[in-house]
Amino acid sequence: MILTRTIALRLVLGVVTLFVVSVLIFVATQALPGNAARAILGNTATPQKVAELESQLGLNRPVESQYLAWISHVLSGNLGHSFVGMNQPVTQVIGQPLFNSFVLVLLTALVSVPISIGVGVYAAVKRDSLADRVITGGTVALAALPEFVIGILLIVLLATQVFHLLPPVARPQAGVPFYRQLRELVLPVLTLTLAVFPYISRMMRASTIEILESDYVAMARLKGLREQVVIWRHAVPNAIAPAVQGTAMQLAWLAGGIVAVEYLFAYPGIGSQLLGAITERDIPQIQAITLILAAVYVLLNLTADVITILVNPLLRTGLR
Amino acid sequence: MSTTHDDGSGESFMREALNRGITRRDLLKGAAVLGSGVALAPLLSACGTSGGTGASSSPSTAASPTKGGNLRIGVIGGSTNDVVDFQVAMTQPDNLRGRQIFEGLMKYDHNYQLAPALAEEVTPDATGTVWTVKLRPDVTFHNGKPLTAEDVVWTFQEIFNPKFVNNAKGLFPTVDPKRIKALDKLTVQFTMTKPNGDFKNELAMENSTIKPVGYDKKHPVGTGPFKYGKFLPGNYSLFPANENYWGTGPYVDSVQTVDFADSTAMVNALLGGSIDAASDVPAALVAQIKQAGLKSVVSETGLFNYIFWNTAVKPLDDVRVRQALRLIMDRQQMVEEALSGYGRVGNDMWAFYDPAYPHNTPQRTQDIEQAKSLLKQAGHADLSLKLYTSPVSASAVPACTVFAQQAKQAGVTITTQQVDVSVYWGNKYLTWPNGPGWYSAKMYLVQSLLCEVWNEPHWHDKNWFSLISDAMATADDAKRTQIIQEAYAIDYGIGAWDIWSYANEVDACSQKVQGLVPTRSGIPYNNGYVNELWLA
Repeated sequence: MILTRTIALRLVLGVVTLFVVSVLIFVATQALPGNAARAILGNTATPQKVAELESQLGLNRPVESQYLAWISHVLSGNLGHSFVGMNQPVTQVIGQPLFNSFVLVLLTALVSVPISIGVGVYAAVKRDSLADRVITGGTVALAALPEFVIGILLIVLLATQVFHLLPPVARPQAGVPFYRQLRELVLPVLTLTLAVFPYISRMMRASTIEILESDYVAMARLKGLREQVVIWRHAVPNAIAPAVQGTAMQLAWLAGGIVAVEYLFAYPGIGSQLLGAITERDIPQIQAITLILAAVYVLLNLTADVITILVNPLLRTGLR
Repeated sequence: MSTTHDDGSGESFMREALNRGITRRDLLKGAAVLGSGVALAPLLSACGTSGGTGASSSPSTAASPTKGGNLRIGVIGGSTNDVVDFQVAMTQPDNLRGRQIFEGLMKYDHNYQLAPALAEEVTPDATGTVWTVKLRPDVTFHNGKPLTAEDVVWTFQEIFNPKFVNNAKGLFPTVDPKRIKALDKLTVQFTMTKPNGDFKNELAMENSTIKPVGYDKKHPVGTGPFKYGKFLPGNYSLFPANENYWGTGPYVDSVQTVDFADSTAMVNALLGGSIDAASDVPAALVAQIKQAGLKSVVSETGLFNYIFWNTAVKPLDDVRVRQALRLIMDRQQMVEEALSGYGRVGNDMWAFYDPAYPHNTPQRTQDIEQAKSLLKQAGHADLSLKLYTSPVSASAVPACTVFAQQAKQAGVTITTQQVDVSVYWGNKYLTWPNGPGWYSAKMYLVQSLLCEVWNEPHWHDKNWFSLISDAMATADDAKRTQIIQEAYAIDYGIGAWDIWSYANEVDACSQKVQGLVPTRSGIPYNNGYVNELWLA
């Protein structure tokens, strides 16, 4: 069936992508000045200590053999141990930040996607009205603001200066079950929702407008169908494809690209973890995190494409 | 009297609700605000008691420690490179965690004076070549094993093991790992390679914290007040109390040490109640702490900030140029600008709390005329320099910037060049022509030892080095002090480290936290001895 073949092909390409990414990241990390041994020793480094640590960590072997050692471990399911700190297994070190980021992305998606699509459709239907103008202007303004500025404004407004409704720091506490700490997540989720909302809603609006002008929609209206049915049953499924693609891109960005927001809320997510790993030149961590983020990217794009296919009958039955 | 955040919003909300007529939703909301107001009443009533000068907290109250609770402390810095082992410790989070788990043979008290720790007595023979350490009899490791002389021998031999890359080795220049003997279960004998009068200070440095024989770094075991537990480097650690601890406390059931990259986030966390105490609070945020009715403790510490001049690089090899640069510095202004007033001016000499520190030496102040004349003599009347700087501490870059400005008054052009910390301490470390730095409190000879190993200014003054080794070899305290003071005179006159300040350190905590006192080491929370703290 066309769909399974497409998915299978895309997965194979995805694996190739991951491989290429792992090589590129490895090369890029080698190009940085310093290495994990120097990062561990910091200002206590002497040439002898650096040399000893480098040999203990295997950093004095040729680059290719370091990479091959790493990739062979990964293929047998072992992500290795962190070079620095307590040398804990990489899975242990990145497990919590991964979970934290996953939660944040999931909550943001659950909140932002329905709202963005809904607002986009509404703006399209009420095109050129006052409501549409306000929405369009608002989304442009939001798109222009960097996400950490949005975050700071929200903190000032809702947490520290104007109102004091929400906690300004989203540091999950050890030992406290996750569902009791949802209040801490409100501000980061709100910040990220406002950050992704402009793109998704504008895309939705643009494609909905285009679809609403097409012949079959005019036909449906002439047939006497209720406007709600015309919009939601006939127009939106065809208009949604670009928004789905846009959402996938935004979610992938949320997964690893929100270091500034994580810093602002002291939220221990995978973006900050990656930044820390790079600063410490901790190659096993850097490789593992990048692989995972690349895999997330590939899967999200794949899901977006599958949804697009499913939603469009022409694609689904393989006539296109 | 200042109000807490919740109280403020409750008031305005009430006014607004009354204006438009109260609805059911308002009633429910009002109940919530009222409820939280009642819960916060104890906090409100306690506020204002320790605002004031902030120079002390309330530990001298007769309240006796209450047991229980999880103490959550915040610390700036940290990364995935966090460790607990003091022998490889690098950052403030490492210092705190190390203190929770490990202990050394000697320590420094809150006045930065020597005090016994795991050792009851440390005595030299007449020449200072053979030192005898008598251990406390009542100490057990976290795994139940009693502390014996064998563990001390093992710890020191490990320090000298070339496979174990650590920072402790450099602190024991006279220890011979092959001549450390366990005389009996509680007595260790060190036979030094040369006479050493300063061994007690070396032992008081955290780096010789004692580990049990066969220590496994994956399951750290020490003698300290807390045991190794959950640890996510760069994130937080949660260590439970050691019920069999021989010393003070611990009073709390566990201590959670949380890393923060940013002071503002840490203070926000304290204000929001997700941590109980914050450390290294920047001056700008202290007002916010006081306004919220929280406690703050200011410690005058021995942590010093410096700028070094590499004597191997022209024209810094000329002592007159270095002296001129020292005279250009307006140290008071640098303390105001870079430390926001939270510090005292330095006098180009380290180890402020060493018994030998010459407090009578006149405080160096800015003298532009003398500086200009010195530069003219040296033939560098219109000196132009590049000053490298890096955010190795919060004050490093601002201090260099201020100094560069001050230099203009003497006709000296200083352009600052900022580099990233990882570059600063990267492979060009120890080759920079100049740069900022800091050390936490130390005694004179230990500090000199460290500066010998990490000799940023390539300082090779023969007189100074011979004085240092004479002092080290002198077992008699009074004589040693005299020799050290001669070395101090050289530092003050022609040295290459410009020590422009000693820092103050501010800890802040909620009203629940008791026992916090000022200390002089520069390590927060009672020099890291959080076993002295309790939750009321």
